[in-house]
Amino acid sequence: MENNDKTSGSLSNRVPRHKCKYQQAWLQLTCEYLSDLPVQLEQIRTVLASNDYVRINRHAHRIKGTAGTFHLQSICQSAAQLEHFADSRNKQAVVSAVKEIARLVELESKKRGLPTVFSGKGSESNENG
Amino acid sequence: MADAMPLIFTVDDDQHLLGLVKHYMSQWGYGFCGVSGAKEMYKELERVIPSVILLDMSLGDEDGTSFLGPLKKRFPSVPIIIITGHATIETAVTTLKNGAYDYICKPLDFERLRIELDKAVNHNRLCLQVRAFESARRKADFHGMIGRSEPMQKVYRLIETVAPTDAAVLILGQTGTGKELAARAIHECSNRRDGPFVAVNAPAIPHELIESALFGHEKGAFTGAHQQHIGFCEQANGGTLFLDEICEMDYNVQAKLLRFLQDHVVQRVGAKSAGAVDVRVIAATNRDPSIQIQNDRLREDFYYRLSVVSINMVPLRERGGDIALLVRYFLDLAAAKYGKDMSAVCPEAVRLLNSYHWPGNIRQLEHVVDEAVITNNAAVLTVDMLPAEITSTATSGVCNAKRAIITDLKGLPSIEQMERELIVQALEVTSGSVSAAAKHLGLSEATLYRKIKKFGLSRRFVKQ
Repeated sequence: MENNDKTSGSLSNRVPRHKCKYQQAWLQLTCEYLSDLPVQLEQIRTVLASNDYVRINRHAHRIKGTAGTFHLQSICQSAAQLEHFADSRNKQAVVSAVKEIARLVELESKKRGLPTVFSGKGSESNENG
Repeated sequence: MADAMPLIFTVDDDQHLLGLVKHYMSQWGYGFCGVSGAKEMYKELERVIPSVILLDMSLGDEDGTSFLGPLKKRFPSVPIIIITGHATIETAVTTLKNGAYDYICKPLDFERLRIELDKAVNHNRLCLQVRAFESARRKADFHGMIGRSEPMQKVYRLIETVAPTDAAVLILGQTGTGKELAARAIHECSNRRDGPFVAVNAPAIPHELIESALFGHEKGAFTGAHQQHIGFCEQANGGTLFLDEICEMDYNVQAKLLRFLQDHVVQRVGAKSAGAVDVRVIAATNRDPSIQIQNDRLREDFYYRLSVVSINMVPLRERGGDIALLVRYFLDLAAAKYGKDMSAVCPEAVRLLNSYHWPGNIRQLEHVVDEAVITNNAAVLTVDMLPAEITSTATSGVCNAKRAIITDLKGLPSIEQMERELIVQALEVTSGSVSAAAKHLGLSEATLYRKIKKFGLSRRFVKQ
């Protein structure tokens, strides 16, 4: 999946101008969110093992809403796709979408100087079911 | 609390989103309380009173909109904004139909959220204000009875206590104190509220027609009875019969009403049979029943049958701050009735109205306000619009002269003022009878008439 993240670039570009006043708090909250996303993706993988697409859909829906609110557009879009794949019970597509989200999380984390805790962890183990 | 810092209660199953909302709320000067599920939500709502609730539509396995009804029921003044990631027209319509104040889509646009929250907080403030006003109005207005003074609160409590019973009630009080309003309030608070309320003003009915008016008559029962007539007692079937000025009723009529009170049976004049009716009787008089019994104006047995419960209506002069409240109430009514813009009373006028002794009670006050509104085209009721009898006696302090310890000559009324006041009080006590008042005051009737004219006492003091 192509990285079409509109939020990439410097922090001041990523944070809407009116929020610059609160950049530090925004950055901290975004980093905390990015750090937690691998845990959420791991939960999706666990649920996928039991083919519980309803639950995957809910996870994806939540990531879509929150990532979008943090202006992590690429993650938001991939989560929307994941939600769609879960609806259509397309396991292979779900696995790919999870993998793509993981990649984007890693990318966003690196941009913010966060440790890439996510890299590789579980990303291959469940992706083929 | 809502005025100090509006509390935004946010329900979302994502802790990170809650953190972000919390961050913005602190920047915008709002309080924040965030919960991630239904159980936590209800627990926290035991502790806090929100100004606005932000409710996520998807709460894990739960549907957030299912809490809309219970939340609206518990917090009717609190706007609930639904947060949804499923932004469709159908969703919007459904949530709004179910009582949501508005809905906002995810990803959250905080600029829009702020606009929505500001609106919702303002809405909440207005709702609370309206409720506060309603509450104050309810305290001031008890089934049309205006007043929040302690004596009136006691009257309201007694009415509420006695209303659900079917006990006969005797309402005592000077003319114009609102005896009929009290009777109506009893009726409205009772289980008979859906039934008729029939008020009978006995003195207004010709003596020879009173029995027929009360009990009805059959066609041809007497000369002029061209058709059957249903009397007041029957008209009140299933409701309340209010007998005003019972001391003015003929002794024989009192005896017939006594039988009616005992049997609840009505026999129309000229009828061969009687029929049972279900009527609660409330009576009223502006006279002292014990004196009326002594003077053979009121049957003792009739009195005891009527006065299972007695309610004493308080004279206006003993109702403290109610006078200002009533003035504003009558001012609003009169301004609307006569198409005038008078909407306020100057403090000096309020002071004078408060210090006047109001022999005609609320009815007199209403007339004073009506007259001021009709004869003036001003926005404020001022002292010069008040009748001389109020401005002269009230300023003198005559009413309290007997009781007050006067330490300053300025507070001491003149002989003329005292004389005027004594005449007013004597006429009040004797219900306007000049001969009785003159006798009490040790004056001849002619002298008293002359003094009444000299002091410009209005007709309301003198029985015509």
